[in-house]
Amino acid sequence: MLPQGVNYTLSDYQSAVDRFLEDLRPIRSDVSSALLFGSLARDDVRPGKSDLLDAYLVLRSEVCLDRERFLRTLHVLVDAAANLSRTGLPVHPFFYCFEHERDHFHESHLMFYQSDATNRMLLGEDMTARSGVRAESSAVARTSFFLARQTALQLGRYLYHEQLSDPERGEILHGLATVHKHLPRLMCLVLEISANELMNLQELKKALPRLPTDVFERIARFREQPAESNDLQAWHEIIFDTLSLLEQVHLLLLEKIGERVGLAEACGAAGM
Amino acid sequence: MQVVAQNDSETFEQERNKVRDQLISRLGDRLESVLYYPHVFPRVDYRHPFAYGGFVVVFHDEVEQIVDAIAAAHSCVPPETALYCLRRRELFELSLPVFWFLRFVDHQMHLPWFVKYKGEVLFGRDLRDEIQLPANPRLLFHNKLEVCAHFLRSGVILELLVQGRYELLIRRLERQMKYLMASALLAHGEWDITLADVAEKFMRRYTDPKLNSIWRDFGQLCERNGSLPADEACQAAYEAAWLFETFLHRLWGELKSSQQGHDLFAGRLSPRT
Repeated sequence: MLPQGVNYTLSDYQSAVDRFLEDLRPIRSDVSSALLFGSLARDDVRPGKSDLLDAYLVLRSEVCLDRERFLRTLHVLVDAAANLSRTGLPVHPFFYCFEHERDHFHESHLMFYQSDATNRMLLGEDMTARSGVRAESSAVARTSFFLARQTALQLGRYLYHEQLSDPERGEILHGLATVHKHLPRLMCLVLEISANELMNLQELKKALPRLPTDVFERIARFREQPAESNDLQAWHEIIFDTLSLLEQVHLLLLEKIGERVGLAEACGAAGM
Repeated sequence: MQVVAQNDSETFEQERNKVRDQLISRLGDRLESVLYYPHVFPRVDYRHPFAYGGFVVVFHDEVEQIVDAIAAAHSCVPPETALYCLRRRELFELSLPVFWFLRFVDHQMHLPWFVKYKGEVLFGRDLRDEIQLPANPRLLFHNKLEVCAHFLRSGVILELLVQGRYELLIRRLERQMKYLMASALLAHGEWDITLADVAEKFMRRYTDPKLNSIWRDFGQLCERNGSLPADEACQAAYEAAWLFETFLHRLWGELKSSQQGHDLFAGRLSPRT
């Protein structure tokens, strides 16, 4: 819960990032690179609503081979994450990996890291994979939509609720956020479309002309300004529209895959 | 929080039948089949018999208004219970790998085996023979390593250390090491494991002494977990994170060596024809 009466501004976010980089100073030589992605990198922060910190640190491989060095590094990372928590802004911990794992960046995340329009290097050199996406990651990326979709379908239970509590509305908004943030990315991966967050819906519309992109816009508006708690109909409508979108997308993707290479071949190519 | 073992009491049977009856009542002739499967790993830490297991609701291929049907199905199962809703022709989707949130990946990893070989038909047609198994489970091992490297460090290690929840972190990492072992066993086609025997089976299959010693050291941490003063609990949690990283690192090596000479993309899945 954010402190009442505090009006956060963009500069609060920038200060938090500056402090974060300052906190990393003791292990600077062990940080190969640091990348910022998400709303702050895209310059579309919603003060007080956008969360910190969508950042990825790549640590030197030697760190995970030496116990003392690892523990020292981990303490610094925990302190840095704790300082982010103390800002009062919505936070989640940043990500980190080791240099030798760069080749294992999952394809589903590479589209964040490889786009200048949606990320910004904070420290060090380009952190993307040295040898391209691994075949295993690509294979899983191409199938992830199908079961990830099942988690979003859980929203359906709320269509049978005759009233919604605060936590339930929170869960619904979380579910809508998941669909809004991740669905276009997962759809692009199924269709092997390489597009960043800013462009993915446009690219999907080209590939799937019947895709109802307006529903994504409605979900975005609803997240920005949710309906009143007693307006059950509005909550049910957005849930129903989201589930309908998921189903339409599901069928469109199956159809598209079937058109292109035949579904069986597609799944075979996915390694399964 | 303790989870309830699934065979502990009649509660499980009664609750499962209640869900089945509600599904039949609400979905009626739109249902092709309702399956229940047991799972060795609880999906969530909550006190409910279905923590171990879940439902697969299969609709007829021709079903209309499937959104209504899916919503109705979800209204019949308790929150947090695993439920997969599919048309019959989409059953193959149960066996596809997914790069998604940690707990979902952990549950999904063994799903096709548990549905096919341990699942029960609660209603309608027996579709267990139509569940296709992943032709190359090594991919699931690879995926589990990637998911750990990406999600676990941020969402579990950093998060719980910042919150000072040291005992919980050690328990979560112990569980994750078992998931890793289970995924490594899957790479060799070994799926029928339990929480109690997974470590033993893993050590039989993976004979690297370093892996063995890491697990032994971790076991000692677990034995002391819960009985340490605050500062020692903190140290133990950091030590657990170190042991976990070394375990993960060794498993990357195991995966790399096991892939040599193998075709990762052998086999295929196809929809029912």
